[in-house]
Amino acid sequence: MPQGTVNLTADKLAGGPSFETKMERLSEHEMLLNMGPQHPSTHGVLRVVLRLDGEVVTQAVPDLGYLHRGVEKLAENRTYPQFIILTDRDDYLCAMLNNWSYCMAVEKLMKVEIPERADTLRIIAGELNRIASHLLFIGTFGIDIGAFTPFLYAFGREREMILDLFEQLCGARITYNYVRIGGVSNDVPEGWIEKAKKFVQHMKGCLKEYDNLLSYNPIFMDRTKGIGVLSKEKAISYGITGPNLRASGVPLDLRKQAPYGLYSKFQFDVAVRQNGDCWDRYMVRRDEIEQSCRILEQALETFPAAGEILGKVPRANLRPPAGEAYSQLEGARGWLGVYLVSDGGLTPYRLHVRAPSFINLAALQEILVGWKVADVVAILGSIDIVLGEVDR
Amino acid sequence: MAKGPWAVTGPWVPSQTPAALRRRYFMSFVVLGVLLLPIVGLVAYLGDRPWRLIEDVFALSNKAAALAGFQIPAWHLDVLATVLPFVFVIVLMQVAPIFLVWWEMKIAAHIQIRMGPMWVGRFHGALQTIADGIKLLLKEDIVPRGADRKLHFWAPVIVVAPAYVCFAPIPFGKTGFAPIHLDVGLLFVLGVSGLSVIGLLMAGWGSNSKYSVLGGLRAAAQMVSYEIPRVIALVPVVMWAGTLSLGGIMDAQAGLWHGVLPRWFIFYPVVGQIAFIIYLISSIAETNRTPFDLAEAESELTSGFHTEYSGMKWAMFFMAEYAYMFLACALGAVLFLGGGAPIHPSLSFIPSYAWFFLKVFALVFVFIWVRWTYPRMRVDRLMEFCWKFLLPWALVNVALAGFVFLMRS
Amino acid sequence: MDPKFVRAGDDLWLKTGISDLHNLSEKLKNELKFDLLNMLTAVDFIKENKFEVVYQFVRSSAPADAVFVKLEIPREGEPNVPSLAGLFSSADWQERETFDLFGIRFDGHPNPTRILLWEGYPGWPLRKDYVHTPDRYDNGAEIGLPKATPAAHP
Repeated sequence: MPQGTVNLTADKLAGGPSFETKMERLSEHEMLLNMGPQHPSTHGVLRVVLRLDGEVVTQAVPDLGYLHRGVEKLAENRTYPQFIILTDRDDYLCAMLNNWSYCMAVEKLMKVEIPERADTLRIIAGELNRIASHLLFIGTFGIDIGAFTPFLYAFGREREMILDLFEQLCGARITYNYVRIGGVSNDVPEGWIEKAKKFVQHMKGCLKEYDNLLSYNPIFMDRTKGIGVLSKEKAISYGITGPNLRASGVPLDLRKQAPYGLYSKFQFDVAVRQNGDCWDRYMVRRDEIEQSCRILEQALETFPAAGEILGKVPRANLRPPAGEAYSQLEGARGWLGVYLVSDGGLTPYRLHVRAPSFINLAALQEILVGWKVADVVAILGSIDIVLGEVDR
Repeated sequence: MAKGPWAVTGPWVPSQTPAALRRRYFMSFVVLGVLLLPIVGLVAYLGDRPWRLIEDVFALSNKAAALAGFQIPAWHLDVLATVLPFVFVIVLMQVAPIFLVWWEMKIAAHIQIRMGPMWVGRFHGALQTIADGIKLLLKEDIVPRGADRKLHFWAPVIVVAPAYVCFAPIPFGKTGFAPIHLDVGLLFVLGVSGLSVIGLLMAGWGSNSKYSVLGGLRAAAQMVSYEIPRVIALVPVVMWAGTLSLGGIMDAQAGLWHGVLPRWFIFYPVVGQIAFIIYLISSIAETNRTPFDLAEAESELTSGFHTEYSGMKWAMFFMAEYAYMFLACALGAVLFLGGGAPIHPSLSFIPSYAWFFLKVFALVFVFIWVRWTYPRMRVDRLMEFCWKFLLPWALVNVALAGFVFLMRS
Repeated sequence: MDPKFVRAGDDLWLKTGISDLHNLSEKLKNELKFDLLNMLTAVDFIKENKFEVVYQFVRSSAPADAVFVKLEIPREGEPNVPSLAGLFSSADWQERETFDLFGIRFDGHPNPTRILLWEGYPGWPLRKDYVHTPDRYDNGAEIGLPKATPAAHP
């Protein structure tokens, strides 16, 4: 069988009898490598079937669904406030923003006014969580490239501090359930704002440490510069958003161009890089930490000393009017959208999550081709997916 | 400010170690240093005695036998003199990884702002490796279905065995401390250490796993390639010393340059430094450690050639890795750092083997330091680095060395 | 459609038919620069006996401008919708997801297979008339397992 005629769709591989029979259909200098779902660097339970010529990838087929929990179906059987805890489990690395995007959709449907204090708290918590998510990215991306040490700096030190802050704020470290319909669940404890300010100062100093240790390390740059280039046109066509799109030279940030909450009040820049390679995707996230620190500084400075933290929302029997609403915000991985259809009942009639990881991951099958196995890991790491969100 | 439902009692990780804690660390190091002084003194007092003790025992028993009226046949002593050094090497090779692994764990931990093992053995997890070794011994040995059982079994053996043999001509301190005296010691070490590649290939192929195959092939390509700049980097040393015997090279480095610098080859202007750096880099690549650990690249190939190994077989690969690291550092100490020569003649009261191991562990520290600092290179860039950078510079260095030595003679 | 009806910050909702979808999206992409197919999903209106396929197009130059296009299709038989995967690469996986969960087929899709669930999964889970087949994860007396006692709730 001539090369290139094998239809290597993931389902056929999954449903097929074994790899060995597939091997016969490959040309003699090719082999299939089944990467995942149990693999150290597929960031969860992603499976990518690679067709290799030596070490060069000639075809890549991602296979999803190992973590599919049917969140959208579950939503139809939960009341509106009950569903917030399930949004935590979508993208468990920035659960605050997931809470927020869902609550935003419900609020849009109900036309609730959110108190300023609650809105500022959302921004503070959201930006802290964005930093935490990007820190985890920096750490795990370093591991993907083979540098183990930055992980323990970004993940083991700074991210822990953020989680401690969150623990004091809402009692949870990963799944917060903090943002509620109409506001937030808890007010800040005493002294928390000062701690957060202290952390922001600490964080700014740490970026230099990461730069020395990882960002400008010659081997790291050699491994990531010019690897897995995603052109501007292709990125837009694939619907890629967030840092991945900004790394391709499109300065698209909902916080800037379609401001929600109180973002229009704050001064910050959109982190953009031009080349669309792995290094740029890394650096955009690194720059975003810097910008988030700027936003945090202003938000913590202007935080209202007193005020309500929850708007006028019925505490029980929350029934938004029949209709539909689409809300989206700038998540850590891209645009986090929630499409909500209500029939006026206690539970959503239909809820769809526009998961940025899922849509960003689609480009993987195209950009992996032609790179080596080592680059597969780098490219996959640089896209920064969370399988909880991909599979939902 | 309103009080939240959760009191602010959660742990707050300080961004810097408090001054009091730092003072305590400092004081504990001072105390530790003071406590260690008698040990150094003891070692200095004993000097070469433990080694000479064996000879003394022979001499004494000879005397005793003569008094009793009979002669101990000479071959008894020959056998003992042959067997004892090898027992020493084998014991060293068992003990060294135990210490090295612990040392690596602790250094890695402190590089990564964590504590490392702290529990087993009370003092900073000193017995952690022994506990790990016992665990590995008790673990089930799993051979994957479809594996080539013979290859799978023999691969770790073939990887480990040359590592032991390589230690035969290493002079542990003085020329006399080498288990065997080979005139071509350097050649022997470099030649025999290359044999391990076969074991890695066998492990890769015999495991019936694609990750293992890729890892084994990468290991073979890498080790064979880096052998070349490594050997060529050592040519200036041999040219300078005029011998291939490791003891001879070590003796050539005795003394001082201009009464200040020790006459070690690493201090030979330009030539010595280039040779040492090339040797160090290619040795790290030879031992498959980060940034050249492509053969077992964890994030790409899960574990490379030893993906399908468990228990003691896996531990043997590990032992081989540490043995080779130790060997590379021992060679580096002998060839570039003067072996057992003290840094200044006034310090010669510290015995030669203490100096030797000090230098070896300093080099091991460099290996560990590099490993936990750098990311991993890519396979094609690795080859480019070897063939397009290291090899040309090694050759240039040989030419340079020839020119310089010619001029000076 | 006249571009001046698209105002910044406002959501514009359009309804279209199967035959017009391709032309409309082509026009949105090429003439009006709505070059990002941001979201694609479906809603099952079982009472009205229809599916609504919802598309959201966004301008990558000004993301506040969004156009929602709705496509109503009958529920009976095998519902068919033209695929936009040729125009927007982002339609590829989102259409597969919609097919996976709703059973709506997209004509001309390069790889019309399930994506989140496995091949042979019984039914289309997000349809309102989906009936769950009891399996080993339920407390199914249906398959002969002892009935699980619900935990006492305070």
